[in-house]
Amino acid sequence: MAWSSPMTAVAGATFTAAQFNQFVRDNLNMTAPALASAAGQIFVSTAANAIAARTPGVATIATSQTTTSTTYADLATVGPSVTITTGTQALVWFGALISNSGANSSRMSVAVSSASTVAASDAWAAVNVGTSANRIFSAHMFTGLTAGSNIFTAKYDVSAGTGTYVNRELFVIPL
Amino acid sequence: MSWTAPMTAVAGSVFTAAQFNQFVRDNLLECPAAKATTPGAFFAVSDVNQVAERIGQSTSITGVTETTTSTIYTDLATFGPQLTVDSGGAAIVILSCALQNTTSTSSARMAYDISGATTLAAADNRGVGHFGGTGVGVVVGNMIYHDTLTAGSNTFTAKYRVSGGTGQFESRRLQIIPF
Repeated sequence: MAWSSPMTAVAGATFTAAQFNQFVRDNLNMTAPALASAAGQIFVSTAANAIAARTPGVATIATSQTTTSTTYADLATVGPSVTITTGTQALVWFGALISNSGANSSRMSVAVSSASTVAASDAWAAVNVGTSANRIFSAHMFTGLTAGSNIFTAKYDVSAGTGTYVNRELFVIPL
Repeated sequence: MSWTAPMTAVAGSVFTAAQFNQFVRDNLLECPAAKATTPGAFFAVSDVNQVAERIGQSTSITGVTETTTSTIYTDLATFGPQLTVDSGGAAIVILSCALQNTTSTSSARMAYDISGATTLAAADNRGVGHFGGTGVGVVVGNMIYHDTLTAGSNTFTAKYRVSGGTGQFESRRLQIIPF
């Protein structure tokens, strides 16, 4: 079933069952009410004349955990992580209460796996420098994803010292 | 009026007025074009086969610097900011503030509570905060996604606290994107 550009009626012509099914039934079945399956979904375009319902996802980890890794890695509790169906784009918001044992940077970034493969990067990291604990957040629009089920996972590293992360949050708006 | 899965026409059968009204008129009236009322609004799913128009809202309290020594979430001299929105079970809350503390070892925090259809107290993990650095003010922001709201009219009210010392707050902003 797909969207068909609606026919133009002609006075005196017969309106057939096949025309009703193609231009009324099938087109109505491509509209938002027909595709709406759960409260909280939003609609995005997936191609010309095609839309899909998307459900935002959120994950949190409250436990305070640390790392001394200078390359992006997991903490003792992996994540937070969100598995979600996306198109080729997703808007991600993430952060935590972040501090370091010394005058060094502590970073939190996001990697993508499963349908897509994108490594965590400083380019979209949430960064705090020094020993003062601050609640730091960052946002990133991932583009060029492979449509399908994608897993977004928070990753962490430091420039030196020990980074501490508390109340870690990650939420994803799939597009 | 509600959505009904469109009928399948059969060649040779009569297409009645009742069928048109149910499967064409009423279904088209459930579509976003029929429900759109406000520029800048968007549509979210409110239930199976139902969409609702949603409108983001924004408010702020600027031009005043206010303080608190309360270690539990409370109001400042100027209440708020506060927003009341119609939402489904989900919403994005965006808040920001310029804040600092008179004591280098204490924090200043801004969060929000929810009242109305949903009841939820302000909490540190749903807010912004700055620790340390006496007299060092920073502008901080956060965005929180709620997916367990009770659908209906929900009121979001900014609240403030410190861990010690005196917290100072200005440029307080609150935005809600309801789903």
